[in-house]
Amino acid sequence: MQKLHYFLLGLAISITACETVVEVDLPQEAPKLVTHAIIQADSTFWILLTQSKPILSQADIQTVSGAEVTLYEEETRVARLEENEENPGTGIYQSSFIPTAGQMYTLRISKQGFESVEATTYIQPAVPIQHLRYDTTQYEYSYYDDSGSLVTGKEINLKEVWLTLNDSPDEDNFYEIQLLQYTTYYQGEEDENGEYIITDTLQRLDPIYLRSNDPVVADNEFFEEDGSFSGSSLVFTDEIFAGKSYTINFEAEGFYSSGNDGDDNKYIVVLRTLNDHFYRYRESVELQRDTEGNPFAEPVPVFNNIEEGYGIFAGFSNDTETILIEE
Amino acid sequence: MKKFLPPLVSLLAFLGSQSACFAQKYTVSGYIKDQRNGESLIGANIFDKQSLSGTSSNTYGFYSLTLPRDSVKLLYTYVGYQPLSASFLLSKDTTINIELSEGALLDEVVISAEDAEKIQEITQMSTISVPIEQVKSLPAFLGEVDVLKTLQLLPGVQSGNEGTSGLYVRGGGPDQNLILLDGVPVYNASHLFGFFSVFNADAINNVQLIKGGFPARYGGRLSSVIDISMKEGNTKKFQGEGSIGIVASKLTLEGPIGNEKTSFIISGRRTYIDLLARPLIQAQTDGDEIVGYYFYDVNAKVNHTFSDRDRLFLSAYLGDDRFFARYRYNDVQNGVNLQDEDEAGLQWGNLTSALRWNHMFTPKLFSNATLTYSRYRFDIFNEYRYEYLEDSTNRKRTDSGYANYLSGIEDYAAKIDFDFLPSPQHFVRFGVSAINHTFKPGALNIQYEEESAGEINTTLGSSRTQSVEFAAYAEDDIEVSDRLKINAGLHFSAFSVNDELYTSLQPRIAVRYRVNPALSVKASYVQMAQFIHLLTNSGIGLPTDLWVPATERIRPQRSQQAALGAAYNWKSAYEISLEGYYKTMDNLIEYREGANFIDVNQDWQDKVTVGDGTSYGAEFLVQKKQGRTTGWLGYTLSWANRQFDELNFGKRFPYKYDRRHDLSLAVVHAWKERVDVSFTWVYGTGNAITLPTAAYHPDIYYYGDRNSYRMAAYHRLDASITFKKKKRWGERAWVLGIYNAYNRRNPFYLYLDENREPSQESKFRQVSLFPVIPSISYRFSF
Repeated sequence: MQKLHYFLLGLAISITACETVVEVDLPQEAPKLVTHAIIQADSTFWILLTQSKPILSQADIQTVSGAEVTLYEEETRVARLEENEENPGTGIYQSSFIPTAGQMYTLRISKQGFESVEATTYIQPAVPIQHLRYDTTQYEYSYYDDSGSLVTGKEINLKEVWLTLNDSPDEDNFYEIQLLQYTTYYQGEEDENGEYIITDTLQRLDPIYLRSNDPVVADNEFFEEDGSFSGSSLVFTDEIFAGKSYTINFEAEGFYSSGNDGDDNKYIVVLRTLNDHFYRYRESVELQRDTEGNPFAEPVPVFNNIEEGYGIFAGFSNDTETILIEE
Repeated sequence: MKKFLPPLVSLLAFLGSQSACFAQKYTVSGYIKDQRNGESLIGANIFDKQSLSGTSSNTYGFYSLTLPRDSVKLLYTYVGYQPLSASFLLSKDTTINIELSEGALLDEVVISAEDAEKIQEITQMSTISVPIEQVKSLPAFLGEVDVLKTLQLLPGVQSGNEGTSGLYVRGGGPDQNLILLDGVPVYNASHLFGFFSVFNADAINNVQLIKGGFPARYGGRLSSVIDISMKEGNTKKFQGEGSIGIVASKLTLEGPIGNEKTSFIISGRRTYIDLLARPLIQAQTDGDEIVGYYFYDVNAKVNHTFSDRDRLFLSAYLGDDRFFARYRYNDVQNGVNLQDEDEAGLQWGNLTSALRWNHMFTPKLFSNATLTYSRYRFDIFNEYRYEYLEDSTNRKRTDSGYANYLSGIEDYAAKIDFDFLPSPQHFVRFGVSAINHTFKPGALNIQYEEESAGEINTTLGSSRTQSVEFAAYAEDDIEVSDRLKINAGLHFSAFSVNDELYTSLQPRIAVRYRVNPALSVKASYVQMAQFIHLLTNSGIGLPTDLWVPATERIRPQRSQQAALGAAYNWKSAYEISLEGYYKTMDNLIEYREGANFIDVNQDWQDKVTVGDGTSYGAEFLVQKKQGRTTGWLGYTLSWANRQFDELNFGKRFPYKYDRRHDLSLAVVHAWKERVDVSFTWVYGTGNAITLPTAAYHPDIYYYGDRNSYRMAAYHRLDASITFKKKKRWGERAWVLGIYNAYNRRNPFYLYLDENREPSQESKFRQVSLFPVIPSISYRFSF
């Protein structure tokens, strides 16, 4: 729909419009510290420290080393974050401290040549998964193995999930749902004969693509093929079910087979309770990207809670359930 | 030199209602018309040289002047017309219907200051009338004469983006203009993104713009009133005029029906790029596809004069913009003929209609009752029908579907207005009106019938809102003394929506004090309320702009405006005015950052945020209305700001069309007897925009304060030359025009171009819309 407008307008412009490069006199500002810090209850965390650059610069983003990074829990200093020794210069700082839900955290960072920055965020306690129900789908496969004989089999996969949660009535809540599955990654090297030899296997939890028609996530792009949303996670607010119990429905999109590691039918459902900083940051980043390149839309400023700097300091907490599908 | 031409006067004086009582005063009343075609002359002046009192004619050409029993010497004047005088002994109520004839253009018509009501005499300030002939004489974009674009050349009125016809009056938004066509509000005055306005100049008699000091009879919008009167139709003879241009052609026909009591006018216009392009597109696509765009509008009006007391008018306007794409494809598979069809379109337009009845109760009391219907609608549709063969049976199957998005506003209104002129010291106006609005803010209807997938028929977001707007007003133009004149009034309005009732009592006052015969000072203070909002997410007049009512959550817009000014008449040839104003506006709406305008599942109230605005500035205008060279020079110095808690982190920011300096010069010159030349030059401070100043991980732009950057200044020269010639059948004119004569590359928008080598810097690029564009059109009249 919007495309139609731009097409029409584009038509009008293309007939006559011409372009010139203009010198724009923008205020020159010194680079600022950019903090990207998402912390999780009951888990260690790392932060990324970089610096901003002038808008016209094409240089890569520079990381910041040698900064003094401290974390406070309700004004008590609880950790000093150190640079990763194995990979210096990546701008990654970490500690062994584990944050807890229901606490207020403050991050203070100073580095010579930059203005010191500070940010505060509160980790909301996790809203538990109240109930989980699911449907499976069976699918048949066949292939010719190395010896040329036909192999057939059946596989049962997860199809649809209904997740029930009890929204807390006191505040605005922001949620994210992910469906994770173990994926096997092979590491290997070539030997003298050019053969590929597997030296190690790695198991990693990867999100599966989800599709949902649920009203809390449904995308409403006009004249879209259908109104469903799909992506690697579902992010939504409690706007339409504030303070009540709600069951959200979603589907695992497609089938993921990760080899014969026995964990094929194990899925992990994650319900994240995001704090408002995290939600507003993600929403505004997405909106800024959506409106980019449209000269008639007002640009969207990204949510920033870093005083004297840029970036985000936010947190979330998790509740997880495992789905095991019996063959 | 004064010219009184009795032979041209058709002066009808006859007995009015004889007052039996012992009265010292009698009333002279009647209608003032154009001698050539019988059109009403609006705002003509009537002045009694004996008693030194006067008045002016209303929208219907009606005037009324109550004078002592004495010999009177009335002088009738109207700009550009030969003045006429009538002397007689006023011994009873008298009706004088008078017809003025146009002054020969090359003659110097000199009228001394005491003759006509001049700028320094009028109480009303911040008001400008532009004669329609002047509008037609000025250079026009692509040869299409545009009333709204002419108004953009006046001080206090900013244009929006390049080429568009939106009006931003004294820091207000485009939704705050009450655009009246024969008293009926027009909701979307744009054709083709506002590059053209919906008003066809050939059908228009008079245009008046009010920017402040609003008289109590107007209400419902915050920033301006644009009162456009359609022609009534020639009562003397059948005539026509028209033009053929590069964009559109138009034809107007008018004349009497039967006798001089009834007349009509009908005027039509249509663009025809689509017709010319159609064979080309068909040839390109082997006849499978048709794509096109056009707009048209039709104005029509009939009126009948029953008597000097009663007159009836019926007028209508209909206009639409249409964009369409049709695709048709035939195929033969396995000996079966299959056809695919797909059609998509986009259309929007206004319909307005009014039935009016003028009635004169007594020579001192004139009334006008009006019934109106108007609607604006915007409609997108897509319809398809595909035929295919079922694989197994080789049977023909059909899938078809239809989707449609519709939004709009529909009004039914009734009003009655009275003009009461008890004495030359008072001009009282009062009246009431009621409007029933139906808002249709976006409904999506999807139907499909597929032999493969089944049927569906759903409607989304079809929430209609009904509301009623009621208004009552009274005002009096009081001549306190020879020097002091006051227009005081009250406008009351009420708006009922769902279970909410909003009311507003708005005082209006304007004062004029004459310092000397050529100079007066004026001041005014008004309050305004507006019960409807416009949802718009761009600076261009998109048809998706949506009218919505004030609600429980989104309250009505309100404003206050004070203005102070001086008017000076220099050598009776130049009218000079200087005005300063200060205006505050509350409950303005803007889209939230990043909101999607056409999301039918989301309530529009969740997509907007509410804030305030202030604007102030000074305006200077020199206008020359008569002589071989006419035109004006206008300059505006202004500031316009907005403050929204949820935008720009709550900080005040400049309005998008905040324009510090705005200058315009418009000149029409009768060069030779049959050659007219004209030009306009405009200069304006660049539009305010928001630019990113820094970038950071992960690919995020940091934007400075909203609208804190200015694009380059806008300036442009347009010129035109008209060659006229009398023919056996009438008159023809060739108009050669040039838009943006010195090819200034005015900024339309800026964008960041990052498509460069990493070693180089990014660049901001400026896109300009219109380079120098010549035009030619042919006009004729008979």
